[in-house]
Amino acid sequence: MKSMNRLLRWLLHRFPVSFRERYGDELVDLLNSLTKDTRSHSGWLGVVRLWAFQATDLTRSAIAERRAARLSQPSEPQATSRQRSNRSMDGLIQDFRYAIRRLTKNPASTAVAVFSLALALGANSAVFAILNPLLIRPVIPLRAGEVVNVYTPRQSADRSYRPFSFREFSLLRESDEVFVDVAAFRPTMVGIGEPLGAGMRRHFGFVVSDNYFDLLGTAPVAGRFFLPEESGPSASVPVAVASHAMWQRHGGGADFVGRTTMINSTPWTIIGVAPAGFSGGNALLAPDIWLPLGMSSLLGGAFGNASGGRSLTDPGNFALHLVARLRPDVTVQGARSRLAALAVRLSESAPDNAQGARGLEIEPPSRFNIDTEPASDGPLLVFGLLLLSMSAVVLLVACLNLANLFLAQGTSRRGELSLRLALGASRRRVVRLLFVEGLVVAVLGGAVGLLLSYAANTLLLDSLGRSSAFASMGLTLALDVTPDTRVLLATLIFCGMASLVFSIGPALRVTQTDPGGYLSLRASDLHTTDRWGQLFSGRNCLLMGQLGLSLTLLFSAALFFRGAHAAARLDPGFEPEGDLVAELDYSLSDWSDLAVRQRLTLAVDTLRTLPGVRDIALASHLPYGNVTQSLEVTAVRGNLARTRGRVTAISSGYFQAIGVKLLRGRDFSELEWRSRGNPPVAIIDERMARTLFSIEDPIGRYLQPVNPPGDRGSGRMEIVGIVSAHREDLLSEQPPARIFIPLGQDSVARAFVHLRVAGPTIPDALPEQVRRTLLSVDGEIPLVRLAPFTTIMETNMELWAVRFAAILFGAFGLIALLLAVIGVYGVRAFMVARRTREIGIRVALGAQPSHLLAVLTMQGAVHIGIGLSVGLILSLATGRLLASMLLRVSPNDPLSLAAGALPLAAAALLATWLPARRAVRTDPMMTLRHE
Amino acid sequence: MSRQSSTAETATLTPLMFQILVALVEGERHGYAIMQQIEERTGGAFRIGAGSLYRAIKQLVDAEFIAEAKPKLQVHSQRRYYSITPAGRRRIAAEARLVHGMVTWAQDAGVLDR
Repeated sequence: MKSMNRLLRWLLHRFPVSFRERYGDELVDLLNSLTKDTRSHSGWLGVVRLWAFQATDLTRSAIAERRAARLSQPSEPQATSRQRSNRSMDGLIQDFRYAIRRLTKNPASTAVAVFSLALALGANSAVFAILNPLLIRPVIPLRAGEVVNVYTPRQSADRSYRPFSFREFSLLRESDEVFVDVAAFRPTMVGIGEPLGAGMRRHFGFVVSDNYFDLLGTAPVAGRFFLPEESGPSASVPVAVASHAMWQRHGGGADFVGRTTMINSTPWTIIGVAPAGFSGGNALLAPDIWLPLGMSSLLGGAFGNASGGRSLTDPGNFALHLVARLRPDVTVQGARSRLAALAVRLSESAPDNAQGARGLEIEPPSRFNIDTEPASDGPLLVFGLLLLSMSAVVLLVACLNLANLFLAQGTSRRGELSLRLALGASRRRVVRLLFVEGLVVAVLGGAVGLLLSYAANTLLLDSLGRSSAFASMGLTLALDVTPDTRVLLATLIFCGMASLVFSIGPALRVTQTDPGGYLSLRASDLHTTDRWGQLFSGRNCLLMGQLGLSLTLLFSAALFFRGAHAAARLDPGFEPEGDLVAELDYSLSDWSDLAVRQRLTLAVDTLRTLPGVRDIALASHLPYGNVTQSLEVTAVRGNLARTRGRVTAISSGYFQAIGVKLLRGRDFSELEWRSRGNPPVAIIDERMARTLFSIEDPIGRYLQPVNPPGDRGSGRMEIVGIVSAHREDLLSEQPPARIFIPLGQDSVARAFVHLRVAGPTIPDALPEQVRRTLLSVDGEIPLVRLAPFTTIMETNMELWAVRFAAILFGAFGLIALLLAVIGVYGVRAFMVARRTREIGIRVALGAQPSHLLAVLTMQGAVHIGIGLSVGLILSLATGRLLASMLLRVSPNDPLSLAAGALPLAAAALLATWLPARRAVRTDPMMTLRHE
Repeated sequence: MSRQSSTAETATLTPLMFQILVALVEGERHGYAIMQQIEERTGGAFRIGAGSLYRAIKQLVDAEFIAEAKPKLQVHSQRRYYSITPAGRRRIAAEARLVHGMVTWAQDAGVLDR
């Protein structure tokens, strides 16, 4: 009923004053009687219907009455439109001057307002600046809705995917029932520029067909793209297209096209430059260079797998990812229905259809993944939305806080404002004055916030890009967070909305001169009629919500920190201390497998002679090294269990070198790892042994890969040894099972050399010695990394991700804490300001100031308590979610809860205590005279 | 919309004003009673909005067709009673005759035959 009364009063205010004075009371009385009668014979539904009708009628009558009143007024001398606009312009400038003067007179509160708004606006524009290139900005230049990725799954229970062969690609390209065009690409890593040798830099690139750029809809910004004759499967024309970033790095001059560049230590010619921002459909990673399909056999794979060395004309070489543009008259769904027929034609041409037919699938391209399986962008989209809504809530909270702050200020400015109104200023004018003040604060806050967000984003991305996690893999980030017009516009809109919200509301409230309203305001604060209503009034509920939200964010941040801490301390199961790792990437060279082996064994044998090197070994993959390879195996004549294991190809002495115990059986022999053609053997870890063989002895039994590569017979391997379980990555609670094969059993692309010294510290001179030795053995050795294992472990991406999340949540949590505390202060200041008179009277009548202070503070503390309880519940729920994602954190971690709750409670209590203290301290005579 | 007030000599009263005057001929009434009376007599066909009602009352008062009356019984101090003035009586009579004439014509033309 109270809300109806308020609505009624507001509607009445729309009428001209004269009408209101004459008929206002009667109207209210009539409507009350009408409501009562309607309720008794039509119930609440009737009342609602009645009010819907009456409210509309009141509005219409008010408008009509106002118009009638205006028309009947004697017309004033009409100022010319120019005079009128001049007058208002002068007024506006005056308002600005006054606003600035006022704000500089209260530097403290202005600083608080600008700061809190800057934080909130900064957070918003930062989030938007990141989400813009990541999720919103289109990455495919031309009609992205028609572009799809093509996948081929096996039509069997396990639906394993694989890349396409060149023959399959050509077949699909020639067909036209579904696709208008099909292009092929495959990721690769190349060494650009510096000659093969120590310190060569790897770069990420794509090997593409000639129609790739055309299909995606982009044109060269200099030079040209590939010709069909350059991308035939056996063409060998060494031409390359550079990325825009690469062009800029080399000076951006006109002579760049046509220049010869060394790629994998052979000369190539740059024939064109791709436009800025083109990354081939990926929002995160950008290739530095594009190379034609014709050169594919000379280029390695992107992630250590030696898929590149074979010729594309080999029908058993499955290396290509396909991207296609649908016919414009076909939707994705419609295209899917036609794929079956196409898949049948494809199967007829593939040589491995003996193992089961394959189908075709199409999916809109992922913005982040490059894979042979369709992957969902869903999680990142959810993450983006979560981030955006978090920062929007923070902004809303900041605005409402500031509204409270302004309201509190406005109450104490009542005298000045009523004077203005009495001197003839129209209410509109005074409201405009307050609005301009709010706008100035908002624009200041927005400008500072924009700078803050730009700085923060750039810092973040720089550290990301420069962090060894990405650099070590030769990847360049495609994210560009310089605020573009979209971001600036967004920030401006946020500023406008912010100032609207936090200045107009209080401005209107404070300039109410209606004596009836003012009186009722006073009445309500002298006796708390509705205790419950006051406790849960809108403003207070908002405050409690803020406190709860802040606690949840802080708790999440604390959990992430603990997760990161625990992850870093996780026992890896091997001994990284005292292990120096050198990474040799032979995929950057064009030597034959035999030549690579010779050089590798020569390097290893020479390094073995270095003083201080106790053990030395080779491996194809590095634990915690961000790159893994899996193989699904089953036991021959075993318990029919199937399991996936991470595969690493190693030399003998590997386990000794990294500190893993050999439990049963034997290590690989020198012969087995140095030469090819030996009977296939494998060493497995305890986990795999337990899964496949339970309690039986695995030694002497055989492992059978579920999908053996076609050219190596059955792929069956005899198990010769068992090692203890050790980790390969951070996030899985249980380390995955491991399979080790001798280096002789597979082709070599990347080799990690482990040099173990006696003792846990690596002598300072050793890395340089290793480098010089390697160079002396082989002047063209592709040494891409040389660092202690412990250092490399720090560059693990998962560790970085957890740390990043911790910092992110921590930042948001801190912002939320600050805003919540400012909010508490603002509300308490306002509440106390309203009761100044009452407090003054009480003190004058002899009440103890300290007692009053305690009472006032306790009243505020109740809200804090409720807010924190709400936050506790939210935190426990969040904790359960996070604990499932992070390692070794308990969902109810009391330490994290305390870390969040204690500072929050303390700061909020302080903010409650301060205004009360100020009010209680002021001389009662002053407060009484204040009226 | 014509700027001329509906209470001017040369204009017709709005239906609402007509009904208010008729209701007041029957006796002194306050606003709510007028509203109830109108709704009753027209069988609920007219839903009167409070705002429209008082606007019409204001115009009638300004035109001096009705006047605020001192009530006989002061039940609610805020309930103002209205009574019709002689000028108002004359006006409603003239208006009713006019409307009657129009309705008779319509009747003769067979408009009201089912």
